[in-house]
This record gives sequence, C-alpha cells and structure tokens, in this order.
Amino acid sequence: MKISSYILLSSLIALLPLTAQSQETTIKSDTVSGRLLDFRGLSVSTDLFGYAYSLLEDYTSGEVAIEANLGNKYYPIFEIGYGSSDFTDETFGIHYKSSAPYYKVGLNYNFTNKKGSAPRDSYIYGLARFAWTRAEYDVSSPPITDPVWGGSVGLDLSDVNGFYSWIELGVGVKVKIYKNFRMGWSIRYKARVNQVSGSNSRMWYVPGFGNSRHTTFGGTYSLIYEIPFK
Amino acid sequence: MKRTIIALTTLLTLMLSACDNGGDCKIYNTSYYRTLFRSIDAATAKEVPYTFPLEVDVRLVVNGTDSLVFNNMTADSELALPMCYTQECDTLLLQFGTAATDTLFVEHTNIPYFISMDCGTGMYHNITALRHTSNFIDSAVIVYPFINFDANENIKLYIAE
Repeated sequence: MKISSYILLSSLIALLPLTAQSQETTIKSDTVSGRLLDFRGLSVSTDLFGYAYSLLEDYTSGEVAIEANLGNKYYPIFEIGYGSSDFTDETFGIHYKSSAPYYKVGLNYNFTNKKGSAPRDSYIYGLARFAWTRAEYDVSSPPITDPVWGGSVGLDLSDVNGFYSWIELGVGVKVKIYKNFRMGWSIRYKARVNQVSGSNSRMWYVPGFGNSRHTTFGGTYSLIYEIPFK
Repeated sequence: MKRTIIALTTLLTLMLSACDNGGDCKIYNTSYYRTLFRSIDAATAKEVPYTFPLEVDVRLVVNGTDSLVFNNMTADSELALPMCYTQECDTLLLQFGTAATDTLFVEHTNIPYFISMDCGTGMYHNITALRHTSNFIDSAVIVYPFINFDANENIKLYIAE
C-alpha cells in the first residue's frame, strides 16, 4: 500500500505543472488529417522504476519500448523487458529462481489532445496492454514431512516451463523536460488471463507482472526520447 | 477532461479491488482422500447410501500402524484419511463388527507441490488403482483420482447387502 500511495502522490505532483500549463497555452490546431493512420513520429523509452523494484520487492526488471504517434492522439506501443528473481524465503526455506524476457503490446490514448491537433508538451493518457512471458524456473524446498505416517519427501525442481499472460489498464502522464526528451509516470492495474505451470508447482514470480496473483498493480517511471521526423 | 476523470476513477476502483494476496492458503495443509459407502438397491437396481446396522462398530486399521473404531455410522458417513507420503500403496483393514473383515489397497502416486512463498509446500496424490478382498465389499470405484486440499469424493465402496 505504501508503493501505491507513493505512485499516486508522485503522479499528482507531476500533474501540477500540466494543469497550469494547459490554462496558459492556447493550442493552435494543426492541419487536421483525415487519414486513418496519421503518422507523426516514433519515440523510444526505458522504464527506470523496474530497477527500483529490487529495493522494495524480491525481483528486478528492465524494460524498453518503442511507440508510434498517430495524430497526437493514438500511440500504439511495443514493450520488451527482462525480469529476474533469485529469492529464498525465510519462513519455509523455499528457494525460487527465474529470469526471462516478457512482451507487451497495446495502445496509449491521449486524453488531452484532439486528434490531429498540435502536440502539447505534457499530457495525460490512458493505456491498455496485452502481455505475456514464457519463463523457466527452479524451485527447491526443505523435505516435506509426513505429519501422520512419518518420513519425508524432497522437492527440487529445475527448468520448469511456465507461461503467463495478462492484461494491463492504467493511466499515465508525460511531461517534456528538454528538447526531444520527456519523462513520464504510469500506474497500471494488472489482471491474469492465463497461466500454465509445471505439474508440481505454480509460477511464483512472473517477469513483467510480479508475484503471481489473480490481480495486482504496478507502475513505471520512464525516460522517453522522441525521434525527430520531418 | 471528463474522460480523464472517468479513467482515473475506474483505475482507482480497480486498484482497490486488486488487494488479492494471491494466497489460497489452507490452515491445515494436509490432503485427505474421502471414501463413501454405497450399496445397490435390489428393487430398483439403483445406487443408494449404505445403511450401517445400528449395533455394528466399524474398525479400521490403516497401514498397519493405526487403529480406529467408528460407531453409530450413518448413511452419510464417509472416511477422510490422509495418505502416506513415502509409500505408493495404502492399506485399509475394514472390520464390520466382529465378523467380516476386508482389505482395501489404494495405489497412488505422491506429488510434492510448491504452492507459493506465502503458503509453502504441500503433498498431493493421485489414485491409480484399487484392489480389495470381497467378504462384504462388492466393488470399489475411483470417483475422482486427484487428491489435494479440496474436499472431493475420491472413492466409492459398494457393500454387498
């Protein structure tokens, strides 16, 4: 809950200059294009928040994305990342290790701009993603003791194949910081779509999603570079 | 702006509902297999719950190391027993009163299972075959072979009338 509060507070702070700016700026309409795909440019970004997860959670991840600008309104995006966890639980003595790439495709929708209008320096957007990962994991635990008949059995699994897919819905903010550079926050609600695990285990850490649950939430803090197009 | 407010409100609602701890941890993480007693009604040829004679105690010896006596067994009675983690065949010695005794062999595989970091590990089982003697047991059927923490009916024992 501390993380969510931090994300929300930071997002509100990021919105302050945006609100002030929108009152001062008069937006001049660009030539409105009637084309369905009104391509305006590309941008690349990297998520820095994933690295900070290692301070708060039992895993870390890194992520880059490429995004197209269609009419300053719609932004199809492809994100690729790599997540890893190598964790030993103190309560049960269970060790879990996994690292794998993950992929997300989706769309950002600019709430602030009208389609075809001139770009604003800062804007709020909604986001939707479909994401998936195929990860191998190792898990081992101290022997499981039979509480009734006695004896114990070990659990030591290696290279178990798992698949996980999920959707993400959220909102974000992007703010121009210098020339073609922007920074941005997003907060995301994540919901599992499908899970395939081994016959003796469930995936515990899912790269790009976090700890395996039906639903969770996460955030990004991105540094963005807009590639100039003439 | 209206769309932004709707989106923010929706997201906030979703985040509040996302307080799923992912844990379906059970307080007692021991899996039991459940055995029901049935008989075939002679008049209708349909399956009915077996009616235990009132005066009869049922004595049960499991894996030769435990001895239990059930009295006042009713038609709804069932046996819920833990399986052995280290063997692949559990043996039940059933004795009705002082007379008839039957032995039921439950063959199974053992599945050590990692549930989660919150819930730890558990042992599941899969029943592969049933064998029995036939003094009063007419037949034995696997209803649901997989045994986990859920309360499923796994075995039906048909008692000869």
